[in-house]
Amino acid sequence: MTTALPQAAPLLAVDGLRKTYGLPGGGRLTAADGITFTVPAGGSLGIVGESGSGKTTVARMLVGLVRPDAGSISVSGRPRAPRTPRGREARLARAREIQMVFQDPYVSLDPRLTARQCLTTALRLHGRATTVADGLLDQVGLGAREAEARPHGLSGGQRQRLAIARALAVDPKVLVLDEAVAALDVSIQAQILQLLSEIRRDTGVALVFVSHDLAVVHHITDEVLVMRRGTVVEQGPTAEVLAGPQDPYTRLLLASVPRAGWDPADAVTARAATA
Amino acid sequence: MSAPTLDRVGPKTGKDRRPAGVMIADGTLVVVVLAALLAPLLAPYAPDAIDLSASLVGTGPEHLLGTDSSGQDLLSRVLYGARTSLVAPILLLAIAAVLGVTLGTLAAWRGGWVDTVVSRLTDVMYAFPGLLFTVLIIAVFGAGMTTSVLALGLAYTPTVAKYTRSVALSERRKPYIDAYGVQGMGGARICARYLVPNLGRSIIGYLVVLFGEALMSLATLSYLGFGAQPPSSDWGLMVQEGQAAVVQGALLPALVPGFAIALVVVSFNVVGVWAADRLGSRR
Amino acid sequence: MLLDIENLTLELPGTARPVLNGVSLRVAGGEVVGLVGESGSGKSTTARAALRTLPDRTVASGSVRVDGTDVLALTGDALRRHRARTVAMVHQDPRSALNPVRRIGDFLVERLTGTGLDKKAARTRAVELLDTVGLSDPERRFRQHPHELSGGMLQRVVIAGALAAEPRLLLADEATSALDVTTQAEILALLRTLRADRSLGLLFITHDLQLAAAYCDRVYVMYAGRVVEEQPAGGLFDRPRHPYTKGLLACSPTLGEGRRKILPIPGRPPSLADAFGGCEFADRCPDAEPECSTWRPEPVPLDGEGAATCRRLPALPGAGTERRNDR
Repeated sequence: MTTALPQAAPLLAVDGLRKTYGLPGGGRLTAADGITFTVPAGGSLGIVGESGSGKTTVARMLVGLVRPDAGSISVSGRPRAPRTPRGREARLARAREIQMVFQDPYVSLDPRLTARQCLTTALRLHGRATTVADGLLDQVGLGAREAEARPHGLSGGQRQRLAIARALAVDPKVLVLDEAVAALDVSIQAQILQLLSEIRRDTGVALVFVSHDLAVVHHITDEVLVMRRGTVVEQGPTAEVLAGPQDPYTRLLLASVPRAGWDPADAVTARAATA
Repeated sequence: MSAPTLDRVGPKTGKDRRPAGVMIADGTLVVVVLAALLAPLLAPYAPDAIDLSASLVGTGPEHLLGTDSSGQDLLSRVLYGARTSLVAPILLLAIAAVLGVTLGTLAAWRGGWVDTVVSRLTDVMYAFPGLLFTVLIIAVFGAGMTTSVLALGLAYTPTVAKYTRSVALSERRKPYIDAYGVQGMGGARICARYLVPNLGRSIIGYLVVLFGEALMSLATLSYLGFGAQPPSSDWGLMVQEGQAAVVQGALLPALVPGFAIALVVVSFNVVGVWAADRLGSRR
Repeated sequence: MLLDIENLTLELPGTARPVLNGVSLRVAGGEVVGLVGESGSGKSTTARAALRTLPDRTVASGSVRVDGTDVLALTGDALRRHRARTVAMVHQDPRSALNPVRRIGDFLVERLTGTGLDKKAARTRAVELLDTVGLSDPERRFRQHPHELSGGMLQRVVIAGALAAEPRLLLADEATSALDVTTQAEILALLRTLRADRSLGLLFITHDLQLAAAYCDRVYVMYAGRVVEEQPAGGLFDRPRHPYTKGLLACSPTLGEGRRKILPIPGRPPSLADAFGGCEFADRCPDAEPECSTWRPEPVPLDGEGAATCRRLPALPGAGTERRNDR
């Protein structure tokens, strides 16, 4: 009968998200304001900014760890309640919409659980067969030895692989990654980025990739949001924004990235052009 | 300036070994616990065997530590008394742990008004001398070991709750706890299955430190006549009973149980403080 | 030569391989030298060797000379003077270098009086130093506490402290890694100015090969305690020679023309528990032959300048870009 509708609706739609915090001396700090974007199914969006830009606040609002003051988040056209629902089924359904991988793999895994237990906990919670755990471990490149190891027996890269597998165990539609490769060695970072590309290709999960690293965002995202002091200064297709930045702040960020023939003084000059 | 050691390098250094004092304290506690367990085998007499003809005998081959005014063998009484004196603090700490960990975790997890209420409650209890509180309860419900253990269990609850709240607050900020929430797990389950078990080491270490104090409090209650009631006995009651003999020039009936209390309390404190330091330096 | 490390090997008890293995490295006055490696490569240990802040039971062979002085032979007062006057180190986290309850000024004055200045002169000099490192309103900064300043400003304060003793050699160990990219660029610009004004030698330690190659004059790349490649920085982007250097470049995402596929290096950086019978990189190396696992690594001079520690060097193409462009 009717056909076109599901195609047109974005997978993740975020509209006018705002979060402020009260300051000790009165007044309010705007952590994020007017954040609006969409991500199609299987798409990849980057959120770029420096410390204090509000990018992590946005990530945490997406998964419900921070309650927005205003704005809405919807997945497949269904709005997400601003706070975690009380009912078990509603809570689990909500978890299957968006999952998250945290920055520091040293503290984002339960120290008491082995890699396999970490996955079976999530699988059991969502009523999935615990035998899926082996497939997930394999998918992220962890072997039999790692399956029985606790986090302190795993390297940084292996821990982050496990954290990704844990998020996938819920079978989410959107995966939010908050600086997920920042704490890793360069050669390991590349492995994780490749793993993420494969996962995106194989499962069709959409990525929201939060990072300070323009080169990484350039590599892994289709669209990008540049944030500064809680607001979006520029957004659009990643290639366009990075090739022809319109906002002076985006230009400053780009001028700050080391490359052949780079002079840090260029960045200092670019700084002068921003407010 | 001392040379820093490299990260992730080298075998465990001498710092990980227990200092001599801790080893001695450990050994003492093992001996005391074994003595309590094996009391029926080790004790030369029944603890309540009265022999008025041998009243207030000093040390000798018949009675290694002498006798009290009823002619009861002090060694036998101290060995049997160890059972009450060691088991009762464990029971009261178990009560305090169950209540305190629950309250402390609840306060840390829920925050807001729940935290305010629990914190105020523990503060009030904190300001109120524990022993006085216990004596009040005993005044209402009557003296006896059971009442004492229950009352002291309640009295120790705020301390445990306060400690649990502080360690739970820092633990719940760790992203792995967030991750359980993002997975869709309910708060009660996260706390019971994952948060509290991860606090286990810290909380047990803290309870070990409290043990010596709990033993002292119980002995004090018994000494005051609120705790163990004759014919059952613990070290506190023994000290009280032995006191009368001091006037008659016999020091052993008060000194023997008193020394036992001191030995166990000091040993527990040495082990507890060392364990707490190590746990602290690990964080 | 300001810093001259010659064939330095450091061994620690309880490790399967030397922490440093035949490391030779030089920094001249007024030169910025990059030292690049992943965790466990020994880059920080190399810097510590220059200060001789090494673990107690380290067994060292080879030599470390700073301005002609044999650092490994220093003891007592001479060693203290060496650490206080000749060499200064800037670490990743400025907050750990500053006492949170003391004012910025106190930190600097203490450093300065340590070099023999009296209180009053030290105060004047401290304000000058704060100005030198580009902090606005140095008089006010002098009276502020660390928590009132941002990370970038604090790193400037730490650099001011490092300059207090007018050292000849500055060791920067991931000194900009914790900073935002724009702040990093500012600190780097500052260090470059200071280098020029004071003919400071700068050893710039980082995990970021792109950064080192873009910023430094010369770059050493370390892997598993060994220097695997040394080149003038400009050459690294165009002509990386060691397979590990090529691998690092090929796996780092970059900006610019299109989106190049990144090629990860398989495996993981070795820890100190891994032992090797030959080239340390062999089991991760795309160009390795069976003989590499038994080859005793030694640097092979490159035509032009520098050296690479690779057995296959003569057979490998000079430019490292083919592999990148083949798709």
